[in-house]
Amino acid sequence: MNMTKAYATRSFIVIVLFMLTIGGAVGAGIYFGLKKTARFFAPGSDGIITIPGINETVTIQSLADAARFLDMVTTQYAVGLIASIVLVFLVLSLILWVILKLSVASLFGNLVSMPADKKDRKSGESAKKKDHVDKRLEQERQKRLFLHFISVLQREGRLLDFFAEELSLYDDEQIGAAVRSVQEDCKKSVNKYLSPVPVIDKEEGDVVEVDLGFDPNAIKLTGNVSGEPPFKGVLRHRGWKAAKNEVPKLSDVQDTSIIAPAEVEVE
Amino acid sequence: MKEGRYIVGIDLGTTNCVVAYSDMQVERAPREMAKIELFRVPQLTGPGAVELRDSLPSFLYVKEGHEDDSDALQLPWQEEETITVAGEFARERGAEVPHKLISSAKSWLCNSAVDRESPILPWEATKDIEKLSPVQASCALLRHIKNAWNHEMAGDDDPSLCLENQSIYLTVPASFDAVARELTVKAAKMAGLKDIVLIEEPQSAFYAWIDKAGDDWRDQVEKGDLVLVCDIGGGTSDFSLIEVNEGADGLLNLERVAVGNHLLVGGDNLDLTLSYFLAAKLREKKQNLDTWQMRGLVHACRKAKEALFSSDGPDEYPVTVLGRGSSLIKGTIKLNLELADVEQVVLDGFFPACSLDDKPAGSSATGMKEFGLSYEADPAITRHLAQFISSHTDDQGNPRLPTAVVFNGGVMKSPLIRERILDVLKQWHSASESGEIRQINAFDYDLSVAWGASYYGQAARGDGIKIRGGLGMSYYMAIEASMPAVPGLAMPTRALCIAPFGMEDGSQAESKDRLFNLVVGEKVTFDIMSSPNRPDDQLGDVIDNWEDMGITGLTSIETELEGTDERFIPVTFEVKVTEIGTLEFWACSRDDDRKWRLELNVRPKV
Repeated sequence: MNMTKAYATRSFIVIVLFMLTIGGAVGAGIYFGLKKTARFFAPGSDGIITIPGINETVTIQSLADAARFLDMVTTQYAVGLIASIVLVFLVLSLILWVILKLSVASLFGNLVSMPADKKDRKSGESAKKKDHVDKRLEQERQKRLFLHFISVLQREGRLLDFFAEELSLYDDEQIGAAVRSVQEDCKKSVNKYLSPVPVIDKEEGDVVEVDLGFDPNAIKLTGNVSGEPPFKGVLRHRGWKAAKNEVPKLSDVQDTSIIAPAEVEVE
Repeated sequence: MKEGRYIVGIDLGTTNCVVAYSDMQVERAPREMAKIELFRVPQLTGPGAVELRDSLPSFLYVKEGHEDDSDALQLPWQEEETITVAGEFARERGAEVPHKLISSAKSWLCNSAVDRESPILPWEATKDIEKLSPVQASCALLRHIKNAWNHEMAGDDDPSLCLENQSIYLTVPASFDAVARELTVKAAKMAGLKDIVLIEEPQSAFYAWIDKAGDDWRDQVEKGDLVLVCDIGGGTSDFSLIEVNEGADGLLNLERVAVGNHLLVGGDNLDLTLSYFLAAKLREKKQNLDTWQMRGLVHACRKAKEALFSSDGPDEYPVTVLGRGSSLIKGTIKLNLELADVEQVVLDGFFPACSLDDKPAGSSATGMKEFGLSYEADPAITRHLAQFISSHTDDQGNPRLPTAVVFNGGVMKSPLIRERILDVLKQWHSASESGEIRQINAFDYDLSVAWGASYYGQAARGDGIKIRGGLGMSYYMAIEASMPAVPGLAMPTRALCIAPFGMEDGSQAESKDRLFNLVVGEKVTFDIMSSPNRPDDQLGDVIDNWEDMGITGLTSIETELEGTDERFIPVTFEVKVTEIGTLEFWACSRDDDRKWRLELNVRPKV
């Protein structure tokens, strides 16, 4: 339906402009034509009209009254004359537009509107589908980002391999040797990505004051909590927060559930 | 040189590249230096993961076949036709498939034994994978930096912020000769960085110290000081001497008076040697390591070295190599690395106490030698240092001992190594009963060079102090000795000094009183030699038996004279030190003002 509406507006403008121009031109033509004729018929003019092309001259001698009338009309009613001509053309153009609009609307209605509607419906569907794909892609990306850190810990510090070990099979010294390396490498990665620092930078056991409007996310109150802050208490755990939070840019991969790839050595 | 918004210093290192910049449009007080910032380089750190790092490891991993379209190697910006990936991932992945890894591209750039413009890297590649020339490899690293900058700083499309439109200062080892400098400029041009200026790394490190000390630097050095800049990086060592003088205006000024030879020995050699030492120990226990475990051992050794060499480190440190696959605990190899062992292997091996007269051993018995790069036969850095210092003498012929030392490079992070070098220097002082030496504190051993390059860029715009330096070597041309030819014997040549040490940037020297008749229409070739330790030779000096006088052959220069009707054109030679820090050789006709540029030959000498 939009198409017909757009067509109607467009055609209205075009038709009206066109007709106005024609109307203006015709009005001006009549005006100047009358003026010229009046001059020929005016008393005192020789009244000779030479008709071009056939070398014939006509002498007019007794139309002085008609000339006066024409002259009066062209000087007194010029504006009205042109305006009425233009008006006539305007009315004509409106009639033409209404006829065109009606016939084209039915044409559009029959022929174009059907596929257009289909198309609309289709594009709506694909947009929905695209949204869905985007959403899934976003989910996959989040999944990958979530797994990325653990995959860094595995790559740098073999953390998952360590978790997969059956510790009861080994004695403490053997485990200790491996743990040293795993802990050192994982710590390095954690520091590189998050560089964790305490939330409250005081010694454990120190007395701390919790003011009004504290962030319950950052400070957890335990023990004998009642009433409104400020509270006074003993710091039992300093908490951790990430001083650095650089999120890597990850490209899309086929399988986002991969944490560490299998290794195949080509002989 | 363009007056870009940013002054960018790029340290194109053997093992790491660092980029620092200063924004000249930030408001600041008059005469105040613009703040220098580090550009954190985005790079692949794992398959499909792009992260920012302080430096870009100078490693290239050559992609092939199935990896071309893989998402895992995609960068966030559009890459032109490249076959390599640079940075952290390239280093880690390349360790697993060494035949696809290009490392130490910079050392290859100054290796005159190979054609540096033919595709030879990766050196160990056996299969038919695509190869790069040393120049292309350096270009690949610079291109990564350019693309990364344009992506981060210019949003990929604002040309006024793009790296190619900034003032770029690229650092090279002081010991880089004319050919290596020329090739560095060429690599930068290939990467789209057409407008660059070269600056010597030790000078750059010194600038970084000046920037850090601010106006106080004038209080920390005094007139007559001779400052040794000791730069020991991952793969190379580089020495320079900077003299502090008082100018006519009563202000201190600085002059770089000597540069050392290019030494292919650095931190990586330390770690490798340490891991071979441990591997030998394990073999005694009948435990053999495969290549995968060996790699783990090198990593573990680096960590252990850093821990043991920190100022109040432990006396021993456990080195563990985890078992592969699921046998993590069962396959774990553990070994204690003792401080005494590290001292013996690293300190006595690389930094032995020695006297000033000691010379580096010439033979190669260290087992570190590998065909391709000419690693130093003698890994004892202190002996190289002794040779460097003893070859720079005062008027009486006595070696001039430095009065202060600035350390730079990753190896210098270890206080124990710094102390050892300082001890050796002190010992030389007490042996010659002259003065004392003190340490000037560097601010960062890894980042200084790029930092200082950005400072130098500001100094070049008139905002800070500049070290006077000029040419770090003297250059010679081989001319025939006037003696009768003996059949079957190569004619001995003599060395004509055509560009003396210390020639200022932008100046030129013409050997006016030496005329050469050059044949028209034929290729003319001249042998070029250089020496880093003959600062007293003047333009036009002729040295006999130059091979024994510390002068070494460098390459040849060649051109073809287009002529009209004459057969010979008498010419004189002119050498130009360009503003960007390269050398140009010209042959000038005596009779008119025609000139021909002689191109440096980068192919190996036959």
